[in-house]
Amino acid sequence: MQAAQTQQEIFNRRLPIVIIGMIVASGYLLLQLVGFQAIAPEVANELRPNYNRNIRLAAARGIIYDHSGQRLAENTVEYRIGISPNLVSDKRRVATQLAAILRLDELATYEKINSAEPWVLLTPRVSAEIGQQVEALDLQAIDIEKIPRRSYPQGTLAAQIIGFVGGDLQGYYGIEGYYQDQLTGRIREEVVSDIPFDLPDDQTPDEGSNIYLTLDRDIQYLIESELALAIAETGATGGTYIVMNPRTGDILAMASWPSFDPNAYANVEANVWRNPAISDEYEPGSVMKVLTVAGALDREVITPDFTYVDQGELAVGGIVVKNWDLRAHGVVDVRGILVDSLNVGAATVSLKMGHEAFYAAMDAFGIGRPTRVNLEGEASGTMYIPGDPEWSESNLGTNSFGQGVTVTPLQMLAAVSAIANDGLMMQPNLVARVIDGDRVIESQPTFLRRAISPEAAHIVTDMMVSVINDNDSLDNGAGVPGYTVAGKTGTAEIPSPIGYESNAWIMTFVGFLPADDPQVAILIKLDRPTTGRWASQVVAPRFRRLAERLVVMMEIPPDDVRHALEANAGVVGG
Amino acid sequence: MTDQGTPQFVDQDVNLPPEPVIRSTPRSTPRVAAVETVPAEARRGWLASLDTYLLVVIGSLLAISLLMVYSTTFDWSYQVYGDELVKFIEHVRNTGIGLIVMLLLAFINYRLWRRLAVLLLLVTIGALIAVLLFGDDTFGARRALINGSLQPGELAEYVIVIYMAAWLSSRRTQIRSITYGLLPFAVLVGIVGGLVMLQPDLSTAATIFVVSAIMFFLAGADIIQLAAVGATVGGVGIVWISGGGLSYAQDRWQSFLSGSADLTQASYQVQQAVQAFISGGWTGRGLGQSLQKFQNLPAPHTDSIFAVIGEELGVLGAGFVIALYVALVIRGFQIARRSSDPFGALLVSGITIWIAVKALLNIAVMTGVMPPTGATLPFISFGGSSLVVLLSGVGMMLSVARLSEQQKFKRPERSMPSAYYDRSGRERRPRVSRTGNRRSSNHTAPGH
Repeated sequence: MQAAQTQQEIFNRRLPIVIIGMIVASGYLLLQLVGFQAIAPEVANELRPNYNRNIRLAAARGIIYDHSGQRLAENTVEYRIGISPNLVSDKRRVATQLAAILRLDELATYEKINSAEPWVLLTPRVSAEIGQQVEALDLQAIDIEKIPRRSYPQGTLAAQIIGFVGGDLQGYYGIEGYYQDQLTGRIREEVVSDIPFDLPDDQTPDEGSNIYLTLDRDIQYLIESELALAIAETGATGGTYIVMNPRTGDILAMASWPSFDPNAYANVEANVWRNPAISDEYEPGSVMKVLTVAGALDREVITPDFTYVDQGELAVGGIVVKNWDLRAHGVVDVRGILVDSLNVGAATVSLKMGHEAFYAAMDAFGIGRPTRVNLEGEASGTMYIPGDPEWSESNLGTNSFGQGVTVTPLQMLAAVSAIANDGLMMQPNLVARVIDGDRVIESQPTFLRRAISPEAAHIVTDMMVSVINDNDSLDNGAGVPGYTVAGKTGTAEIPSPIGYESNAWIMTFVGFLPADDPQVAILIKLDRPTTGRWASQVVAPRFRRLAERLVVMMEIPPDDVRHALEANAGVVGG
Repeated sequence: MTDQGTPQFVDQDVNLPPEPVIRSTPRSTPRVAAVETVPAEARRGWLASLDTYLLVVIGSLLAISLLMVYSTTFDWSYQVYGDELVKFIEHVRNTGIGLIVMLLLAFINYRLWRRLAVLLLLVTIGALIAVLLFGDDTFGARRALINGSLQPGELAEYVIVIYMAAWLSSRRTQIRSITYGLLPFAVLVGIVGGLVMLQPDLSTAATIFVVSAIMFFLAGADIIQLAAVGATVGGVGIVWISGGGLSYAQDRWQSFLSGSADLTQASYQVQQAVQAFISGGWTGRGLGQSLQKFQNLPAPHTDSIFAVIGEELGVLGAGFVIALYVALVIRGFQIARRSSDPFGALLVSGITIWIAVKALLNIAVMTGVMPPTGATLPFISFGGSSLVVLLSGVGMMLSVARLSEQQKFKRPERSMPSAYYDRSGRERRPRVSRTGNRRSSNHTAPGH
């Protein structure tokens, strides 16, 4: 070629080279495509994509209501708000807007939005209302995640009964824990295809069942106020109030101190989450004498006319049992054992029963075994029986008045309720009905066993009425005007690894009313109150105050009114 | 030509051909039957003056684009906007805008761009510097201005083609000189490509280097010089990248190297694309039936659209798309050959090369021949600014084709005094015009 070639000549000569180069390149790419069709099946298999994913469709958790439909636990949505700083153009303006809505420091917000991170968290948790305001800004950079949250609209009310839902969406303690499976519904593990044409058949998860409790929010509120007042007035370190229907075992209210707010369960020590009413084991003290006497009467070891000579002390299995007042009371009948709360009398009865009959009777009352209440975290109490290495002959004597044996508050109330319920042991229950979609499962009262005969039950009830009503009775501070009350106090020493603590007692009162037609059974327990030595001084008046307001709230007519109504009804009906 | 105050390129050794301005009554030519052509030409009006071949190819690509963009966006549109047509309508609108721009440029005399080339280049360099200084950071790179709506890198590819065409056509044989040819070329391409590389946007920079090198070659560069520079740049580039100069490019390079040996080790995008081609087979799963587009292929409507074509239309469909690009290249180079001036020839061939390189780059990535880059498939991928820029390039090609065709009508080529270009195709003997700079002697375009 000569140097005199024009640009056009060179261009025309070189153009085919470029064209051929491009056609060759295209041909190579086309060959590549053809080559893919010949890829070995095993390589192709290894590359084969998976269009299916497993997802978990969480169901809405069931709502917990009280007996009249007040919400105790429900589901709310909270918003977590983050932002992608590199998508924000007007950082200053956005910072000002967000800081105002989220009530954050404007400078700190600006610094976050101005950071080099691809994503920053602005606020981990705001209410749905604020979250929707942020949503309304309609900013592309803002990342809003809706976080379902369990919320407890009544705050601390009945916290230990309800329990709470942890960050792992598991229910813990109380109803939330016990009914975890029903409340959470069925979390559907579903295979979902990425291909939008392949829609799964059913995408709605099974929602959790709603649960109606037997609990009455108003009574619960009443006993929680009473409990708080009792704690403040007596200086007790803890306490439990339980209100139960002895006929059905339905628990109407149950409160313990200290409590917590399930909306902020993490703010308290983990041991506060327990429900002391079902998990605190304590020595019941004199309340146990009621069960001892009832068991002896039922087994006809003694008759209602039984008397013994009280000498103030009794040697049993190497130890000496003494009365609370360290005095000898002379000839005492069965009623007197309860009215004067005589340890020597109770031990005399239990020795007369012998260990076989005594422990059989205690077992019938459910001592030493869980009540099977539908709450998570129940303890069973401890009662050693002959054969256990811990048992000794002296236990038979001390157990009869509530020493050397531990119970939970609910166990004690359930046992006394059996006496109120003509000797029938009912299973304590907190759930009125479970509503699972269209199905309503009403819970029926669960009969456990016959603890004692009706006759024995009526005799013991009558004696317990005397405990309250006798003029010289220790416990007559618990009496409620217009109503016959059956009850018994207990002032128990607190065992420690080195013997019983000095100057500290657990004081309880267990009782029910009206005595001839029991509609409500109540347990009050205060730990280490400092304003008195005996439960009859400290706890009995509190029972009275509570019962006086309960009969109004529960519309239990006074005895004379009720008897008149029954008489009239008989006339009308006849 | 009138002096408009902007820098202009001046032909140094050849006169400018006269500019056809008004469609005068066509005269008979030896090759065209006057009786039939003239009324037909007059009847069909100005649209008919456009290159039908090129329009059919572009039209086919755009038709495939509409089908595939709908196929790849309906689910996304539905999920995000609740209406499966949202993104498709946006694409239809972009296509419409692109076509209007194309027609506009087809009827603007392409020689205007020669006069504006310097200005365009300065603006582009300014924008490239601005994006480095004030640009928005996305995914660790600064590529866009004004909230991502303007990407100077995309503009740079286009402007470098226009500028190269203008500059190379003004240099003529001086291109072979190192001082007047190679050195200014290297400096210029180095500045623009380097600025793009700093963003960093390696695929755009590579496109700029490759396209301008091929144009330089076509314009008559010394092959030995070009080979030497190519070897140096390639060597330095490989050393720099493998030495960790651009960590993201290095990662991709590593994944590419391992993937080309064993597909199961290839990068995610390549694996998914290959899977799409396998699933498509020879005839495809059928329009709209791609499975890979839903979750597995990244950016199925832009970068990975070729894989979706392969899955839905099979090797045959994908091959047809490749054939359309080949047809586009062939027609582009035909128009370049027929151009009445070197600027037109270099402009059209430059645009053609630019489109071809983009298409080859995208398809090469999809077929695992090249390491992944962010390249889109020209005319087919979703994306407004890219489509408008590409169609405006087609508009310039149409303008060159229209004007060179008109000249054929205007002057019988044998009698054309200024002809330096063998247009007949039958006569291979070059016509060399040696009349010196005739710029002053005549051809002040009337009414331009």
